[in-house]
Amino acid sequence: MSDTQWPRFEVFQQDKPGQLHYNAGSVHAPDAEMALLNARDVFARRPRCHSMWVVPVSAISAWTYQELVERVWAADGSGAAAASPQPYAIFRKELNSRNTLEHVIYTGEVAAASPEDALQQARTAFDDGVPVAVWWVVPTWAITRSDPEEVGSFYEPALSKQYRQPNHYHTRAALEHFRQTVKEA
Amino acid sequence: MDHRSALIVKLLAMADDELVLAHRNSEWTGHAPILEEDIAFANIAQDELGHAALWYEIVSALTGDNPDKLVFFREAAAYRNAPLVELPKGDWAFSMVRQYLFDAYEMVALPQLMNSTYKPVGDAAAKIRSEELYHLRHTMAWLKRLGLGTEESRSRSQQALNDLWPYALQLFVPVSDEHLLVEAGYMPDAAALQTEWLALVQPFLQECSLALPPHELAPGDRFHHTSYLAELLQEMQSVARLDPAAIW
Repeated sequence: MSDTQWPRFEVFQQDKPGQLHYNAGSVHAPDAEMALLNARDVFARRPRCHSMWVVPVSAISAWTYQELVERVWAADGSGAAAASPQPYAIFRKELNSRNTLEHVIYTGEVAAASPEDALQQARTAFDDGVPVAVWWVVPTWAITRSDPEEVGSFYEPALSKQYRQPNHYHTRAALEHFRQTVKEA
Repeated sequence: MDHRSALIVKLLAMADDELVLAHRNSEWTGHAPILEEDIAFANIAQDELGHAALWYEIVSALTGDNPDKLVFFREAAAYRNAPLVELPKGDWAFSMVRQYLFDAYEMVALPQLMNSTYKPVGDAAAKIRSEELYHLRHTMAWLKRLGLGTEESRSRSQQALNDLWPYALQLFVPVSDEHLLVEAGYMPDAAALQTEWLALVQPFLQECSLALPPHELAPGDRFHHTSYLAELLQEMQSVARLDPAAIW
């Protein structure tokens, strides 16, 4: 069956200034600008969000823990070494058996000649002894970021929309009250 | 007519515009072109409903009428929305073009409403404006892609624009004694708003490769509705009217 969907974009969300962007999920969109708008509507409905990035899935190189264990690396990246280095954003998800809901989180940037080169550098540069379940490597040009000037219209209105929160409706209290009334009747 | 009565009519018109448009937009829920847009447009509908609530609350403070009562127990003839917002939702191009024309109208009106000498109006406008900035961005993104997309998307958008333009112009027809409100600094001058609106909308539509329709007003006005409004209200009010004494 052919895929009639628009391309998929991964969405990274930052809850508050200074925090790391984490992978919130994905959206379909015809282009990056629409992906950003869709991401805002799908993932920033509930507070709080400060910034979003979208990345087309085609721009992501991914490696899992298992792949890296089994992989025999070439002695050098001969062809890649000729290319001039460009910035890559590195994302990773920690291998954590206790919490399966761990996010893929932004880890930092490296300058590298290829995604593989970027991965190798990242494995050294960001090694803090924690095993990594999955690495994502993205050339920074492929990231579309929400405009800091638009925080007010993009994200702040959600803060005042308490009616979007399930606990706004006090359903439990209402149900208790209803049960009580029925019992007394 | 005095200031107070004129203000009540004007605020009802503003509230009813938002309410009826919200309801029409909500009809796309579950039917939008893709899931993401379904969520986005339902969001926008909910925002417009929230804006309606803000305007109804100001009416309520003036008249003592309960906003729910205004919404669910008023007949079509007493509604003061522009017929633009009561027209059936049509195809996706129709709903997007309508939303764009309305968002652009709000975008020029809100900064002036924020300066209203009637404080409740200024406060409500300030709240609404940050959301409208986003609405406009959303509908502009869609119009560009529809207008510059395929021949089918362009011709459907052009058709929608031709049909909607005469109705959109009615947004700038003053209600009875609106000049009293303008003189008092409560409300901006409608003719000046229309000039500003045209300056915003015309170049953008051209950028989207859409031709401007002739400058003609549609029949009907805020006091004379199409039969679509009664049908819409019949559905919208049906549950509330099943048991008028019910507490929500």
